Amino acid sequence: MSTPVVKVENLVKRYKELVAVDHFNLTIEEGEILGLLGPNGSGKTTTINCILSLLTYDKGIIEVFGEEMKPDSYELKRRIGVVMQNVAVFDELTVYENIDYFCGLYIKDKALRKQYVEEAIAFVELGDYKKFYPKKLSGGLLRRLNIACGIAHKPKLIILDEPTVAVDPQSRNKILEGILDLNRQGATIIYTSHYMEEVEQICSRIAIMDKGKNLATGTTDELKQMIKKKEIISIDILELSQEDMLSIRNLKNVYDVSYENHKLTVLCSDGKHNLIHILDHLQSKNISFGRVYSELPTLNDVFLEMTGKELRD
Amino acid sequence: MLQIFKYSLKQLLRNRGEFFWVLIFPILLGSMFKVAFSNLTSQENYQAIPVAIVNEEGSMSEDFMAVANQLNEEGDDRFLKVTYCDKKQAMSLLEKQKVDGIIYAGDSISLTVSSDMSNAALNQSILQTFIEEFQMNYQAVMDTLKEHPDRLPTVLGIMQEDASYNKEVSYSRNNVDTYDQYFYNLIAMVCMYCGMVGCYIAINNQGNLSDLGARKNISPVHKMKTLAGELTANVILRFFCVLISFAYIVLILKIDLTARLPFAILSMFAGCLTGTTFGFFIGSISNLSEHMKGAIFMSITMTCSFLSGLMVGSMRILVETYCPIINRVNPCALITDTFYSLAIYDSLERYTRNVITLFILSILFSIGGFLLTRRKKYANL
Repeated sequence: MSTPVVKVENLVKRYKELVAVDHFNLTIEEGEILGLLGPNGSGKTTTINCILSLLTYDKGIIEVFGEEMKPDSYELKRRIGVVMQNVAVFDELTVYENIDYFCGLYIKDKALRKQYVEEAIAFVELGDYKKFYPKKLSGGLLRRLNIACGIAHKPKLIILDEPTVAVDPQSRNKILEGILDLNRQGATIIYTSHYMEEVEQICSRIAIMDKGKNLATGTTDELKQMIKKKEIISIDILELSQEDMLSIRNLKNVYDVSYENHKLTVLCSDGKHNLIHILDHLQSKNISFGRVYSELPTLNDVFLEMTGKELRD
Repeated sequence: MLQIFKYSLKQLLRNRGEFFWVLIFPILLGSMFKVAFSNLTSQENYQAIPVAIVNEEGSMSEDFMAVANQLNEEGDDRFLKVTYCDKKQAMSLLEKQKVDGIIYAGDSISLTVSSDMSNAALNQSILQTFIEEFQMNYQAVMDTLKEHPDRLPTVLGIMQEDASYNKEVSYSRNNVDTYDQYFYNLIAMVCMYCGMVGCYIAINNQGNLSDLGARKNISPVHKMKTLAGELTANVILRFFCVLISFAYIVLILKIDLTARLPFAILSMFAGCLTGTTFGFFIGSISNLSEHMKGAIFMSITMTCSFLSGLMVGSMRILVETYCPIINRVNPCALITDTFYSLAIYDSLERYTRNVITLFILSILFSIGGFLLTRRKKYANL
């Protein structure tokens, strides 16, 4: 078995009384795109900062490329690229100069650096903005510059901390395609976000975090299997009595029923042919119905079921 | 490190706001000093007394007119500004306050002044004293001619002697204009202002204070290298700015601060180095916000400037009298004193002591700053 690119064991990080990361475990294999999902304040960024050795932690082991990650692990750092949550570029340097500056911290060879910078600019499609100062760029372009600064040196491990916050759909799509490209070129990627569809779209594996804990890790399908909700059936019905609702609730695999705005919603836990059973039941009770929908759970359902529906910061 | 230095230089050159304090501000303040002090100096200069002389053709008139002509000659030591006229014209001039008095030269010499001209009281007194002295000397010469003509040369010799009981002895190599010290202080303050960027450099290299700091912390470059590159760029650029301000003061404002120029330039370099490292040290202390650190830096710098005499010229002397240790460690006072020493003393001893102290302070501030920012791992971000 190959050495994992990142291994986190029993990581604990406290801010005085608050436990930000609570015995967190995670292993990331080479070539993966791991999505780190969690609500605000769940400990995603804290975990990333601990992995990068920016933050001290109270307990645990962190290994990157099989070696312990320390602040002076310069050779390890050389193989890591980070795209921070906040845009961190110099306002007084142009797009080209910013990328060249950050690439220069990793690549000493001038000719190679020039090539990498040009490739990074082409990668984020900022060729027309090379001489622009960051203040002249739109939010999406700025995010793309931020990404280019983090990945220009062609790192083997790329950590992207919510890189698409406040970005328009076109730019977001471009960024996601870019991440898949980087992965195809051989980079292992850790991607934190709370946009479910993004994570579902690009990540090969997902870890769901809440209150500093790793609630579940797996592929999208594996995660969907972990929750109770397996099928959501919605039926347009003009009128439905409480008695009828109760009878539907008692059907096999049904664990929740609601009726609102002439729409019946039935949540089924497992099994096959749930829709047929419900429709048969309605016909047997002479309940007339209109349109019928059947949906499988989304990652959003997984996330909400695992982390709860209460509001976060 | 060269790459970091190059880009730091570019950033600093493009950050025009920072140039205000090290380039525009000293030029503006220097120009204001020049205007203010020029007025003061001109007020201190002696102005020839405007006077009307009416020749009444008497026994004393010929000799008096000869003396008056001599005192009316153009030059730095001109005593009287004479208008020769008749009585009517003279009265008219006095009424219009064009002259401070009318001298009538005939068988005797008399003075007429106007009581309405209170602002000319000093000049009127001077004229009165001058006439009395002339008459006394005239009488003495006439008496000598009449009774002891052989002693006339002796009497004239005594009259020409300038009776002075004090002798001015210069203990310095140069006479320094009192107001030059304000320009020394101005340069000292500008050198200290180099520290504003030093402060930002410290903040932008700390992962817990800025996103850029975090990004630099996760790069494979030792923090010492990054800081050294950025601080060096700042010292060099600000040093050139201070040189430009200095050149403006010397060449445009015509303030002579060029006594032993190479040493003066070294003073400014030492000052910029001290200012930058001082700002870097302040920026490295604790995790206060950028604005708070900037405010602390400005407060300390202004206090140092005040104590070195920027606002009150005699302050540095007062501090020297009551608490000299402050002048030994106050960077502004040290920079000011290097210029003062160069202008006043032949010996370089005091200058050397000041410059060495500035370099020692720079080393201490640098070490302090490096120790405080060397941390690469933070308890919180």
